[in-house]
Parts: sequence; structure tokens; C-alpha cells
Amino acid sequence: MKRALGTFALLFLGLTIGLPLGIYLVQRKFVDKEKAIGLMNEEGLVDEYAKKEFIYADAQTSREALTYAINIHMEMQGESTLRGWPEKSDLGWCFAELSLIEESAGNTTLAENYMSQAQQILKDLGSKDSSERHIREILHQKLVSAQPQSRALSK
Amino acid sequence: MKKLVLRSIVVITGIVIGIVAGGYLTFHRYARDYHTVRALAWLGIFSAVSEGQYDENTSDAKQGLLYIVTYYSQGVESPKLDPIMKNMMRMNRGLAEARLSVLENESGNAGAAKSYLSEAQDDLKAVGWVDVSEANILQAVRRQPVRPCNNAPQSATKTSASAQQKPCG
Repeated sequence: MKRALGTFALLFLGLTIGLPLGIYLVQRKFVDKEKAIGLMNEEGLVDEYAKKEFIYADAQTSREALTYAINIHMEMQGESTLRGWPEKSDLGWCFAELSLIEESAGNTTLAENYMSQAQQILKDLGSKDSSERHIREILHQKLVSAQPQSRALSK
Repeated sequence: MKKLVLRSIVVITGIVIGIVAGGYLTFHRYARDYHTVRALAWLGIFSAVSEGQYDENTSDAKQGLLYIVTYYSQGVESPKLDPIMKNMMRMNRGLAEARLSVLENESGNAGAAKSYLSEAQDDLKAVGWVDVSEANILQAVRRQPVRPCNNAPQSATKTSASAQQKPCG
């Protein structure tokens, strides 16, 4: 009986050492890395979707996609460990694109608000020219180069 | 001496069991709570690889795109995803089908190319695309030139996902 208890105590000692070690190893070597990649990819995929919708889809779907992308970008600010300059820039361009959509829908106040947020983000990132004219020019070029049809100009 | 060895074996066995149990519990909790994040981690990688293969016109480009279409299809049908995330999956599936259409056309399989294009048109129309003509879709999936990192264009609107296609360093 005493021997069995002694063996159990030693096994328990091993378990006590092994359990936190297992948690630490899996968390650090696998979970943290995969989670970081997953969050970064989530942000990237949603952003790419919104930007494609801006070019090719109708205004309402584009608005929903861009708003969703902005929310994801905002959430990732505190959560994603791999977040850097490209993701911050993507957020700025989402605001700029949403501004154009709201402007074409006649929501001028909202459009101005989004544009000023876009300008501020790009300015904070060290953009050489974060003026509204420059942002509009880049988005216009993007629409024209991706879609030569007349819809691009009218959007 | 023998007693000491036996005791050590018991302790080491306990440590091994502890590591396995701790690792399993951690992974199980993570897989349960971050199901979507896990799927997106691999989806992003596969997607970037398949687009890269398509852009470079490699021999396994078609296989990669077929795999990614299956992966996106699972996402579109998943009840765990919200509607916008499903739309994102659907748009990307449509673009992958359009790329497959291009590859089939290049291989001389006009029937398969037409079938993939039709599926792409259905998917892209469902996510709000206004112009789902063949010309417009092909424009959207036109091959991007693969350049060395030093010469990569510094587009202000380049997304992080597209940046993954041409990793630098």
C-alpha cells in the first residue's frame, strides 16, 4: 500500500511538472503562431474582398463589404500580433473607398467624415501626399485600370 | 540503484503524460474557440500559393485551384460563418473558377472552360458584381507579373493578402 502510494506520488509529481510544460509548448510553438497567421489572413482576405467589391460590385454590397472590413481592421488593432504598416494602410484606403460610395449616394457629411479619417491614417503612416485630391486620383486610376467600362467612371 | 531508476521512470512517465494532456487540452480549447481563425490561417496560405501558381503558370496550378475551390465551397456551406464572410468565400471561389476557366481554355478544353466560367459568373453575380461578362471577369483574374522583391511596385492600395503572393526576404 505504501509502495503504491509512493509510486502514485511520483507519477503525480511528474504530471504536475508535465502539464504546464505541455500547455506552454503547444501554446507557444503552435497555437500563438497559427492564431497570428489566421488573424492576419482574416484581415487580409476581408480587405481584399472589400476592395474587389468596391471595383466590381454594386454600391450597397460594396458598402457592406467595406464597413465589415473596417470593423475587422479595427478589431485586429488590439488582437493581431503581426499587424503592421500594410494593414494600417489598408484601413485608410477602406475609409477612402467608403467615402466615395457615400458621396455617390448623396451622404456628403458621412463621405467627408470617412475621407478625413482616410487622410488622417495615411498622414500618420507618413504618406507624402495625403490630400483628398491625391486619394481620389489614386482610386480613380484603380477603377479605370481594373475596369475599362464606363461604369468605373460613373461609380 | 534499481529503485532510483524505477522512481525516475515513474516521474518521467508522469511528465510525458502531463505534456501530452496539457498540449491536448490547450489545442482542443484553441480549436474550439478559434475555428474560423484556424480555417482562415490555412485558407490564406493555400489561396496565396494557388494564385502564385496561376500567375506563374506552373504545371500544378490547376490542382491548386481545384483544391482551393473545394476549400472555399466548404466555407460557403458552413453554418458557422456570417453572411459577409460567406460572400467573401463565394467571391474568391468565383475568381478561382475563373482562373480554372483560363487554364482549361489554354489547354484546349473549351467545354470545361465554359463550364467553369459559368460557375464563376453565378458566384460573382451572387455577391453583387454588376458586370459578369466574360471580358470583365477575365480582366479581374488577369495574370499579375511576378517580379523580384526589389522591383516590386509600391502600390499604395496593395493589400496584405496580395503581398503574401510575393514574399520578400
